[in-house]
Formats: sequence, structure tokens, C-alpha cells
Amino acid sequence: MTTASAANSGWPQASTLLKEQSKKGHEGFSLADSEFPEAEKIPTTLTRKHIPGLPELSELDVVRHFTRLSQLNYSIDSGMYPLGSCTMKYNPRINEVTGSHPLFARLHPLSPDSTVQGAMELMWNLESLLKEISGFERVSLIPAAGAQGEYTGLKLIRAYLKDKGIKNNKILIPDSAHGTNPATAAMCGFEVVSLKSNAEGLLDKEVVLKHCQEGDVAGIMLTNPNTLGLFEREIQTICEIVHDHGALVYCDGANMNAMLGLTRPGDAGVDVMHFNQHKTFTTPHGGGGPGCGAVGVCAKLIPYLPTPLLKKKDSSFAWEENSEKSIGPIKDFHGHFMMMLRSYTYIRELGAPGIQKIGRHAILLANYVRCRLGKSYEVAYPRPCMHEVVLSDKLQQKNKIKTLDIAKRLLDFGFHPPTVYFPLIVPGALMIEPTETETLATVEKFCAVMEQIAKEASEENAFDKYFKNSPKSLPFAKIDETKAARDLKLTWNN
Amino acid sequence: MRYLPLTTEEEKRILQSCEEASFETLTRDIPENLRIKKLLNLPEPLHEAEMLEHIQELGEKNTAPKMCSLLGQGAYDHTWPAVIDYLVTRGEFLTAYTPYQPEVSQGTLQAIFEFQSMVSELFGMEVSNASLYDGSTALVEAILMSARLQGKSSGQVLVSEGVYDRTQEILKTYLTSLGFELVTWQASHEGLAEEKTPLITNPVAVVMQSPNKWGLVEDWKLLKKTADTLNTKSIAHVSHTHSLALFESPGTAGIDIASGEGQSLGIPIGFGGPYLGLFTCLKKDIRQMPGRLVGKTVDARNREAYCVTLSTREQHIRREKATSNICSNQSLMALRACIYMALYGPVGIKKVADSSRRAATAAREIITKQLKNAKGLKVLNGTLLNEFSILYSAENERKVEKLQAAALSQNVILGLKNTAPVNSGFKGALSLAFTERFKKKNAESLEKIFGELIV
Amino acid sequence: MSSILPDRKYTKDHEWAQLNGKNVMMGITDFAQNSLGDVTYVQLPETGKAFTKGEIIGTVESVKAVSDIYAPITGKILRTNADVINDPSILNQDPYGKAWLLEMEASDESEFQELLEPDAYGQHAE
Repeated sequence: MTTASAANSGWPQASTLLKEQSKKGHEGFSLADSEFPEAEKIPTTLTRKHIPGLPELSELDVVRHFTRLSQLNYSIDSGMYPLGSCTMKYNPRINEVTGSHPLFARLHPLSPDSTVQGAMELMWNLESLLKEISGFERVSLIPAAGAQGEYTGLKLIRAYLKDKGIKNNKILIPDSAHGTNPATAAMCGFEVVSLKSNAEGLLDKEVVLKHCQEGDVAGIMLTNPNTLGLFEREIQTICEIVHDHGALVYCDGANMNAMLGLTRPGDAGVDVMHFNQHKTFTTPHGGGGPGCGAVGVCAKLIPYLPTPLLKKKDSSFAWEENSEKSIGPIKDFHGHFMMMLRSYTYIRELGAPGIQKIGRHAILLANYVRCRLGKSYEVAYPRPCMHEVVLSDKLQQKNKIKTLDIAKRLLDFGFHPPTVYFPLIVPGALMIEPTETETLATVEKFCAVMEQIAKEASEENAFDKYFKNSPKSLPFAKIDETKAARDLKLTWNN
Repeated sequence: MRYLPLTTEEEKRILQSCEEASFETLTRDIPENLRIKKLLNLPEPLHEAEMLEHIQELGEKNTAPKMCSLLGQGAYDHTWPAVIDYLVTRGEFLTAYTPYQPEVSQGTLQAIFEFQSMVSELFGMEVSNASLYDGSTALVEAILMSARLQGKSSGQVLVSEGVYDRTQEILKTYLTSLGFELVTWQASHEGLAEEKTPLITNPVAVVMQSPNKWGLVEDWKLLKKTADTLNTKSIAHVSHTHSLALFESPGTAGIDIASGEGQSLGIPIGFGGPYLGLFTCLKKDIRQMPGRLVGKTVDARNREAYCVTLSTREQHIRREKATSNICSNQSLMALRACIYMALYGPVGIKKVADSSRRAATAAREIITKQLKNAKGLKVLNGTLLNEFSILYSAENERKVEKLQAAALSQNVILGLKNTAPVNSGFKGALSLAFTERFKKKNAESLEKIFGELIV
Repeated sequence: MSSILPDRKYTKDHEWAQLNGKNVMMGITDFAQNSLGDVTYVQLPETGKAFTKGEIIGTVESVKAVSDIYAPITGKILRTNADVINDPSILNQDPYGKAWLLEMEASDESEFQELLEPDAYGQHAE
């Protein structure tokens, strides 16, 4: 029996699982037959006896399937993505051309140095750009993502202190920090001490001093601007206090976009910082990765950098694999090179005049949102912000409308919601980062929608009237995440 | 500037709306002495055409693209179809964020779910996560998970000698400072893990890699037996995913955790990354699994849908008690692998594996013949996938280096110097890797290179 | 408004405890289940294991939150509630009844007396 349905329609719609579309004998590859004779038979003990249950599909089947799937995604290319702390700015298309360039795409990472000088020069150049932008003495491009950059940074601190005979084991982390910070500290074997933010949402130098005086402090892990979008005004004094107690300062560079061209973390006394090149320097987010980290360090941490370390001699480049004090290798090979091609392209295209407008424009647009939406939402910390602003649902809660309701309602109006319920210190947080690549007109539209939702939220029976079944206008309605967790189905088969 | 649309006029308007006199007053939290007051010292901006020329010029400084490369050790230059590049650069995939809002991320979510399903099929394991950074860090995570499953925060990890040297170094970086000790499970002189179970006192896991660093295929059943004898967890590390089309899967051997490198599934070697860390385990152990997971569920209208699940294991919720600090997965690379597996299916993946194996076997035969009378040089003979190794004595080290140099002058990158099995009595190894790109004409020049230099 | 029953004692970590002969039954409060949201997973200790007061003995998870359960008193675990492990949703429906978590053998009876009275807990949970 054939059921007539929309299944053959070309409009955006769900696509059945690949497995269900499979038909024996279909194939989607083009492979020459081998010119070599059959290889020796595989011993029975090693042979695979069951054919893996992969689907068999024609190329067009596969193209349609993934095209349909793609149409179910929100993306930067389809609309504004105001996710705070995620810096969802435009990913320039030219990056994809350079980032898949055939003269780089098939270079083996272990090629003899003499055969890959162009790729090594590009890495050297990118490092130089990042050094100038951030004020650090050297930058390792190896870390795969921000979290691995954090890991590298804390390992460097550990190695430096060990070398100096210091066994301190506590890492101070503000309560507004990203979850990766405490998780990374734990992965490095440190003890995490949480620092309470003050009434202004900032780190308090007295609190830092008190903890440092108690002893055993190896370092502090701060984010600047912090996750409330506020610049840590006392950053220099905090760095001094930490240094005076023999500890080091780690900066989470997740919010580097706000500092671009305005101020350099290296100048403030930060010892080590990771870059999120997938945020700040436009390598694509790709639906959750790959990221592209990098770690900048001050002079005293250079001897400990992970291997391999890029060296320049005269005009040629070489890898240094062995370095006595190095923390060793932290991942396979030397980082996400094809992503470096993209961020290099971005920085070179903008140059100093462009780079130095990024922070400025990002900050202006975030403050526009703050000043305008401050009239209909509670601003968690009412003071000028940097690149992002944190609102809360405090006013809407009075009428039983929560942040999650606001987020889902935004989808009805075609906007992706902001980051919600983070930072944890703001109940019902809505964290908005417009980024500099949006036009003011788009940001105004977003604000108008937010105002409309605030108005709805203030009406009688607001929940039933407007929020209950949101999102309503999408191919999918609200998704049952509780069922997913209670009744785990993680593959086709179980 | 094309990525910076805000006009001076609009800047003024924003400042007015915020009742600020200037940008400087708006950003008064930045201390005066920390402000950058001049133009950064960066090279002049480049327009698009200039940029493309610049990248082309840098690219032309690489001579490797014109060469026949026999490099392997965890990165293999297989072919991939054009349609992958086309599909993954669709903006809806490329520029989407992590799928935390499931209603507007069903594309990424279903693709990851299909990826998890297909990786589980290949590995013969019950569940796969949404991917980790790369093979070596996936193995680190596997060992940490094994420790958690046994409630151990220290102890010994038995690591087979056939694990890549680089991977062993990476394990050291992550594990020794946490109190884990790495003990080598020695290989025989033939380059395969020894049958006899080494004695360790407080075992955390037993790790075996296949194909191993000499390119030889190991038997997971021996891994399982060894772990059982030591009463600990077995970890299989699959260095080349295509091996699973021909050789027994970790799941069939009853392995507890299997990690791997998925680069061969449609991901260019791209000078080292990004690649694709694979991670699979048993469903009962899922709560100790690191990394993101996608599960199947329904939406409010009862249609099949997907979402990120078991997030409570992850850093953004459990912070210092999380199963890992990892925040991303290699989503776009997982998507590449997903499309690759969908296009190739069981037949195509097997054909790539078989073609690569035929090329490596033919090359091994040629070289074995050439080295018949050479002293201090020995070809390792076990079952291979697409890579094999020639052991050399200390006296032959110079000769091997000369051979590599001579090959390079003939545009052949003649593999990688490697360590030899400790029990073999040889100084080192030369490891050569092959893919379906290797043709008869390449085999002929390889024969010539060995023929001229080793007599 | 979350409910607090008068027939038992409470901890600051939002657990309830009730005497069952000489033993102590425990669970999480209505307030706790309410702030967690839909509970998806409950992990409880093995029976026979001993814990000191304040030690972590298990966890309760929802989709976006996880919360540790602490031993309200010092003692050995006598039995745990398999129903709540098989169907965690009952914690949202009946936290004080069907969804009790475990029973402990008290090694020091005075510890139970030191727990919060319903009124004091009510103020704490506000």
C-alpha cells in the first residue's frame, strides 16, 4: 500500500532515517578497481564475520537527505543568533575557499619540514598576528578548542610552579565562570575554590587577596570581560595580588571579541590566555565544533609550551619536538590547521583598521540592547556593558512567565533565543550578544520582538494565551527532553 | 568594511540612546593605561582578490602536494567525494551553533544520531558519543572513564607497545600527573602484543591499538583475555576506522570501551586537523561516558525528534564533577564522516580498505624481495591493513636516512621513522602507508628507489 | 507552593527523614523535586554500605540539573527503593510517599533528633 503524503515534496520537512531509506545494491561512491592483485587471505581469527549495518544509498538519496536535514537548522546564515558568550558572528565565505585550499588540504602533518614551508609560514604568521592583538610573547596554536586551551594553560601553570619548587594546588574561579573552568581545573588535578562576585557583578580584589593570603593558591582563572559582559575593572591589581603570592593568572579568552583593538590582556598582567578562534576569528561553529583554540603566554611560560613548537631560522621553519621543560604533546599533531587558514584569512583581510573596530561595534550594539530592553526587562547588573548584556525574567516571573518561555516564544518570531540560565549567578538569565556583524536595523528588529514578548507576558492569562505551545510556527514543536533522558535511545538499534 | 556594517551616524545614535557622551565614557571600566591608543602593528588589510593570491603564494611554497607521500601513523590520505564538501558547507550546517535549542537544530541532531548509530555499527559496540577531538585524546578519555567505572583515582594502565609513540606521549601528558602509571605491554619481536599477561598491581585498564604502530592487525580477543586475567577494563583503540570493514570489531570480542580516529572517513589530512575522535562503550556504562550525546525522543505533536541528552554528565552542568572538560564535539567532522558512511555503505568502505590493503601488500612484497639479501633490515610480516614497517639495525640507520633523502629527491616521501619493537633487537623502523590513491606506476618508482640504493 | 509534612524531620539540603521503628527512612522534599523539574534518573547506594552524616550517598537528576543526596544521619544502608530507580517520575508525583529513597540503620539516635523541625525547614526553603 502506498500512502500519499508530503514525503516527496521538496519543502522543508523531516527526513526518515538513512537506515530506513537503504536499499540493497544502491551505492553512492565512485572508486576505481585496484590495479593490484588480491591481498593474502585474512586469518579467520581476525576476519570480520558480520557486515556492519550501514545503509546503501544512491548519491542523490544522500544529497536530498542532508539537504532536508540542513533546512531544519537555524544558522547564522539564516538569521541573528544572539547567544551570549558564544560570539555568533558572520563566518565569511572566503574562509571556506582558503580553508579548503588544495595546496594545503592534502598535506600530511608529519611531512618533512622542507616540503611544507608554506603551511608552516602561515602558522608563524598567524601566531604573530595573535601576539600583536593580545600582547603575549608566544602563542601555541595546537589546542583543539577552548576547553583544551584551558587545559594547556593550567598545565603550563602547574609546570612553571613545579619548576620553581612550588606545590600550591588551589585554583580560584569566580562563580560566574563557564563550566569548563572548574572542569578543566579538576582534570588537571587542582582543587577548585569558587569566588563570589560582588554586588556589581565583578571580582573583588579584597576577596582575591583574602584567598591568596590563606595560601596554597596556584592561580586564578578569570574571564574578561566576565560572563556578565562586564570588564574586570581591577584586573591589574588582581594580577598584582596573585603574582605577589607566587601564583599565576589565567584568562578565559571566550570574550576576547570585546577587547579587540581596545585593550590587550597581555598588557594587564595576564600570564596565559586561550583564544576561541571559532568565536573571535570566525572559524565556523559547525553545529558544535570543531573549535579552534590557541594559547598565548607571557615570556616566563614559553619554556613549558606544548610540543611541537614552531621555530624560525633565517627564513625557514622547523618543528622542535623535544623541549626539556615542555608539558609534552596535548593532542595529535599540531592543531586544527584547516581552521587556522580561516582565521588567518579573516585577520589579514581586516588588518588593524578592521580589527580595531570589532570591539567597538560589538560593545555599542550590546549597549543599544541594554538601554532599550532595560525598559521592559530587568538588567541583572545595570551599568554599561561590554559585548553582551545579561537580562533576567524577574519582571515576567511576576506573571509566571519564565526565561524558557521567553526563549521558546522568540522562536515563533523567527529569532534564535539568547543564552539562557547562564551565568548561574543570575536567576532566569537571558544573555544577549548581538556581535558587530549585525546591522543596527536587525538588532532593532530583535529588540522590538523582545518588547512585544514582554508586553504579552504582562497580560492576563499570558501563559495560556501566548506561551503555552511555543514554538508554534516551526517544523517541530516543543521537544520532549525528559523522555529522551528517561527512555534512552542513542542509536538506530537501542 | 563588509563585515562591519555600523555607520558613524548609527554609533552616535546608540550613544545618545544610552545617554553617553562618547564611546570612551561608555567603556569607562577599561583603565586608561590599558587602552590601545594607536593602530596595532598588523600587515595592511587585503581585499578578497589579494587575499586569495596571498594564500595561493603561500600554498605554492609547499612542495609536498606534487609528491607521492607514503606517510601514515594515524593520518591517511584517502580520497573523498566532492559531495561531502558541498553538503557540509551548506550554511545551515556550517554556521549553526551547538544544538542546545532542539526545535531549531533537528538537522544537526539527526545527523549526529545517525553518526552515533553508524559508528556503533562499525565498532560493534552498543553506543557511541557525538565525537571527541581526535584519536589520542579519545583514548585518554577512555582510560579516565575506565578509572571512574572502577572508582579508582590512581593505578596502573597497561598500554600495548603497538600504540603510536605520539599517542603514548599524549597519555603521559594527561595521566601521569593525575597519579596513573603507564606500564608497557611489550610486543613480540614480530610486532604483536605478547600472549603472556604482564603482572601489574593496581590495574586501571588494558589498552591495545589496532592496526598498531607498525601497521599490524592485533587480535582484540587477546586484549579481552588479558583484561579479564587482570580483572580490569579492556580498551580497544582503532587507529584506522576502515580496518573495521575487514577485521573483527571490538564489540564482537566483548571489549568494554573502544576509541578511535575517524579521519579516514572523508576528512582531509589537512596538515593535522581537524580530525575526529571516536568513542564507544556499553550502554550500562553510559553515565560515565565523556562528551556530548544525542538521543531520540518526540516533539509535542508526537513526531520523532532528537535532542542532546544526559547533559548532566557535562561540564556546563556538573562543573568540576563533570566526566570531562570537553565542551565541543567535532560536529562538522562527524557530519563529514556521517555523509561518507551514507555514501559508501558497507560495500564502499570495504572496497577502500581492500584497495589500500592490496596496495600495501604489493609494496611489501616488492620491498621484501629487494631486501632479501640485505643485512640488518627486516620487513615485519603480520597481517596488515594499509601500513607496514621495515626494521633496521643501528648500522643501517644512516642508510635508511639516505634512502629517504634519495626518495625525496625523486618526489617520494618515503614514510616515517618509527621505533622498533623493544624485543626485536633492531634500532628503529621505517613505516610506510598506502591508500587507494597508490597505483602501479607508484609501485614501480618505489621498486626503483629500493633497487638503486639497497644492493 | 511546595508542601511540607508535619510527621517528619528535614535537612537543609532538602531531604526528609522519618523514623521507622529504630531505623530512618529518607527521601527528597517536595521543594527539591519542584526545583529540579522532571526527574530523569536516580542513583542510590548499595545496601550494606555505611555512611557518615553529610556524605554524598546518591544523586537525583533532571534534564538540566543534578543534585547530590547527602546522608541525613550516620549509619548503614538497609534497603533502597527499586521503584524510584525504575520510574524516576514518581519522585515528581509523590516525594513523601511512594518515592521514598532509602532506609538507614541509625548508629546514633540523637542525630535524628538534631534534624530540622517542619517549621524550621519551611523557613529555610522559602
